[in-house]
Parts: sequence; C-alpha cells; structure tokens
Amino acid sequence: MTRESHEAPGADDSTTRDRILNAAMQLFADRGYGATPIKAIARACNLSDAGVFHHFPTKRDILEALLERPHKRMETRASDEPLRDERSLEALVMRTLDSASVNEPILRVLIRQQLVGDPEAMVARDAALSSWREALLQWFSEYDRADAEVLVDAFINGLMGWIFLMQVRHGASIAGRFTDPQFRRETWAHVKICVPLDRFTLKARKVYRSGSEASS
Amino acid sequence: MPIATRDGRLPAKDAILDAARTLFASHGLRGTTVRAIAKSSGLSNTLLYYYFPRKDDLLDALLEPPVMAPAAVPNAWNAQTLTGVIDYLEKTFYGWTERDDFLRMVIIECYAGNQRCIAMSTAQLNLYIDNIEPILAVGCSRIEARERASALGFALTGLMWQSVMHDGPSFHERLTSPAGRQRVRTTIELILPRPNSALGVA
Repeated sequence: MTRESHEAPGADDSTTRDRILNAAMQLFADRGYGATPIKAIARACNLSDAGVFHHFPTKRDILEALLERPHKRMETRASDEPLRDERSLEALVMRTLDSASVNEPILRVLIRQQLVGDPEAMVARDAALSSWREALLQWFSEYDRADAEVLVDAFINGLMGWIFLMQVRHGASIAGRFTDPQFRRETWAHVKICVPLDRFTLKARKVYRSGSEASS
Repeated sequence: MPIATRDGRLPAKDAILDAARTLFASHGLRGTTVRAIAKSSGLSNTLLYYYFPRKDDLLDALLEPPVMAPAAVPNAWNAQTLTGVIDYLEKTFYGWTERDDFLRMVIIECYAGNQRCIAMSTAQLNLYIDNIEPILAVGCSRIEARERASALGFALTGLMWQSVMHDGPSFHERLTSPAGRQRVRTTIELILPRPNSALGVA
C-alpha cells in the first residue's frame, strides 16, 4: 500500500512520532548521531524533511525523546526467585540476553553518545546502570551483601565484556544473535566461569516460601 | 633531522600524533578535522599532510598496542604462586589502562565500525588468551585453561570498558586506587583455577 507512505495531516500523530523515533534510533546506533542527517531519518520513514520537523524541531529533540522513552534497558525487574544455584544464574543470563536483544539499538546510541561526552547520554546511561546493579543485587540477595557486590561486579564485567566484543565484531547484526541458541550457550559458558557461585556460601538459609508471596 | 615544534620540545611527528590521539579519544576519527589536529599541535596543515597524507595514516601510526611482558609460568599452583600470577595479570591489565586516550580512541572507533580498530582489538584479545593459557594450564586441564583464559579476557575487557564509560578520562586513576586495585585483583582471582595444595611444592 503506497498510501501509507505519505501521511495526511491528522493521521495518527503518535504512530508517526514512533516511526520517526524508531528509524532515528537505528540510524544513530549504526552511523552515530553526528553522522546522521535529518534527511536520512525522513527517508527511512518515508516522510519529507518537513514531516520530521513537524514532530521534532531539531535533531537534538529526537535524541532527547529517545533518551526519555521508557526502555527496560537491561533486566531491571527484581528477581521473583533469589538466585542460589547455577540453574537460576543461567536463567538470569537468559533474561538479560532477552532484554538486551530488545534494547540493543538504544543501548548502542547511549554508549556512542556517552563516549563523545554527551552529558544527557551520560546521565541516562548511569541511571540505567545503577538501576540494573540494584536489581542484580536483589537477585544475589541470598548471599551476604559484600559477597553479592563481588558477584554482581563479576556478572556485569563478564557479561558486558563479552557483549561489547561481540557488538564490535558483529556490528548491527548483534541484536539478532542475542536470541540465537548457539550464541546463548556460548554466553552462558563464559558467564559461568566469571561468576563462580561455588566459591561463595549462601547466607544462613532462610525458609523459602514458594507460593505464598508470588501473587499474580 | 626531525622538525621540532615551535617550543622545540617534541619532534613534529610526535606532536601531531599526541594531538591526534587526544582529539580522536574525545571526538572520534570522523569528528576530528585535520585542521583541529594542526591547530592543537601548533603546526601547519601542510606539514601534517606531509607526514600523514590521510587521516587513516594517523590512525595506523597510533594503533600500536602495548607490548605484553613474557609470561612467567609457575611450576606449581598453590597460594604462593597464585599471588605471583595475579600480580602479573594485574600489571598486564594496567599496561592497557595507563594508555587511557588510546583505549578511548579504540573503543569509540570500534563502535563506529572502524575495521582497523576492530581487527587490532580482536588480534590483541587472541594474543592475550594465547599468552596466558600456559599459565592457567598449570592449575587445570588444557581445555579448561583455554576457557578460563578467554573468560579472563572478556571480564577484564568488561571491567576496562565499564571504567572508560563510567569514570570518563580519569578512569586509569580510579582503577589504580586501592578500591580499584581490589576490584581488578578480585576479577582476576575469581576466574583463575583454585590453588591446588596437592600440586604445591611448599
């Protein structure tokens, strides 16, 4: 349907806005913010330059809207079952890869902007990182706080080093790999070595109430 | 005879490279003009083009990875030799991070899809794994040593990357503070095989 390609005024504004944001996110992630002209964003979503400017007066407004969008970024949900063995560590790795696959482009935009010293990107990424760290500490709450800190650090370093190197090696195609079984097995094999749970002792065992608190 | 800068301290070529490294580390290759490099090094555009006809020539000259000291392979895997191994790996790690501008430049360029930087990083990582595998093989099987060596390469890359991102230009300073050193040593220690008293010579 070619009718979709030129939207009449009054067409669903939020949809157009989202389309612009999605196209911009992909382009910023692949080429970098500085190297992406408005024209390229307009072309990617079949709009005229003016069509883009109607929603976002400047390119900076697009970036800021992207940074403000509610993203899950990394797995920030608290654990529904505290981690106490390799099986649940593996589950955490898989969940993290799931959310990384969804959020890969915006993460790459953030990283690239932070590297060139964009203050807003720095704030956004630091906030994302600290809420991720907090959520991970929840996962490791069966361990003493000091041990949990060490484990979280080991988890983040092991996983992020691996993801960074794979992102660099595979470029934009990395997002698809996060769901590839082979890639997931390799990731798990590395993280397992980086986070040696068997060297840590669980906090005094509490009785784990399985069903009672897990509502919904 | 090397041409000196106006203040006569550095040979012109080094002044150009220093300026380029600093600018690339904050703006990336694409975000840095030849004019800016010339201005920052106090030399003319012409001289710059004379030494480095293309921007990529500058990058090639800058892509000198740090040289890794030869590994000291211990003859046993006990608490004592383990400390020596951690010392060695810590020193190697700081050999990378002390070149903070260089690292930032490489990371920025890797994200921008610069194939030279990607190839250099990949080659360095493989070299690192090959170098430390024989050390780890003293404490575990050959296959396990390979896996642990790779994991160490990834985890230390992760630590370095996190620090570059989080602490900005002063990341080396932060990493060499007492708390930073503790983090580095813990990261290393968790991935090394555990000390095996049966193998110890005491």
